[in-house]
Amino acid sequence: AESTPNTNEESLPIEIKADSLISQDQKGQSIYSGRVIITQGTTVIHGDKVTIFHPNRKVIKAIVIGQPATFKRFLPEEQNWVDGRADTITYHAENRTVLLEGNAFVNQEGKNSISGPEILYNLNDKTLSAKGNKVEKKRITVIFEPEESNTTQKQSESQP
Amino acid sequence: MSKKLSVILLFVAALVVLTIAFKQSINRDASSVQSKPLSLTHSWQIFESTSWQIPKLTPNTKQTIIYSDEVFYQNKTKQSRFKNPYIIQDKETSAFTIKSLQGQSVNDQIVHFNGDVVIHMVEKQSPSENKTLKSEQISYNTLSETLTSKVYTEIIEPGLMISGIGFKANMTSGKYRFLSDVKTVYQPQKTEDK
Repeated sequence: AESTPNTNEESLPIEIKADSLISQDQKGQSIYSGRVIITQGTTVIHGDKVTIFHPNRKVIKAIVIGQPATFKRFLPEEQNWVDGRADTITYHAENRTVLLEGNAFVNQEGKNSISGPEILYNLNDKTLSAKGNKVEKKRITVIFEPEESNTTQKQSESQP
Repeated sequence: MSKKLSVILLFVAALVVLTIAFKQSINRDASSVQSKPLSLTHSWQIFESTSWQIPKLTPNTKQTIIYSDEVFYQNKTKQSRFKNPYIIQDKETSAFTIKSLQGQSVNDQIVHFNGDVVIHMVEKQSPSENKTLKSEQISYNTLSETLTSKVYTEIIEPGLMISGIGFKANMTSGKYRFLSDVKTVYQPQKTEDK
């Protein structure tokens, strides 16, 4: 069904396209390989290999591996997009979190972007938390885009 | 003059007779070819048949029942041709049926199903996991219990549809594989909503 951004996305059908699939119902595991695209409403995830864990036919976790794996999603409350990429993206259905590991980068359109070895994106409260890596001396970078201040806004309006 | 006319008439009559005779011989050849199947002369045939394949060593664990409207069997090549074959594989925790319009078996082991192939897979303990598989061609190895298809195949179960081109499955382990052009549509269960 055509989804408008403000419907509850997670109740919409999930569509997965790939080059091949190996599924083991008894283990509750399906592995999609080759140009994998997962779509649910406005959420789109790309990867080379996706492993879905679905014991008793209920999806509990999905691991997306790519070069990089990418995702993007429309946030209806803020009316903007969030997108991200990483070597591995893991979605946990139970606590509704997305863990990006390896060259992780998340960008909230017109607000801020964050990069680092590991980023956790919480779908419940839309918060981002990032972790550096002492061993590899990898740090976190956060870039805030200044919102247009009122004065600059008035100036641009008053000009002919 | 009348002599000439009679000769001409005679000649025309002969032509007509020849034409009719030639036409009849063609029809006879055509019909005789149709009654004898091109590919296979059979050793025996049976209609409305039901046959059981019961492994000697494990008679209770697995029985393959084959029902068919027509079976033409060739002893020498151990091949048979089925019309509307219907296989039932009944086991302790699961069962499945395979049916199609046509079928052939090879060496009494591999059965090729062709035309509107439908497989129903039943999980006796959890009916919600019942599946239906559809394809236009699938081969079933009754000994190794494996399914293979080279064409478009789809699996439908409650809330889930998977399709692809090229399919392999092991009916014992439950592991299956789609070889290309995979598409899955999954409807999250209501309990998963927030």
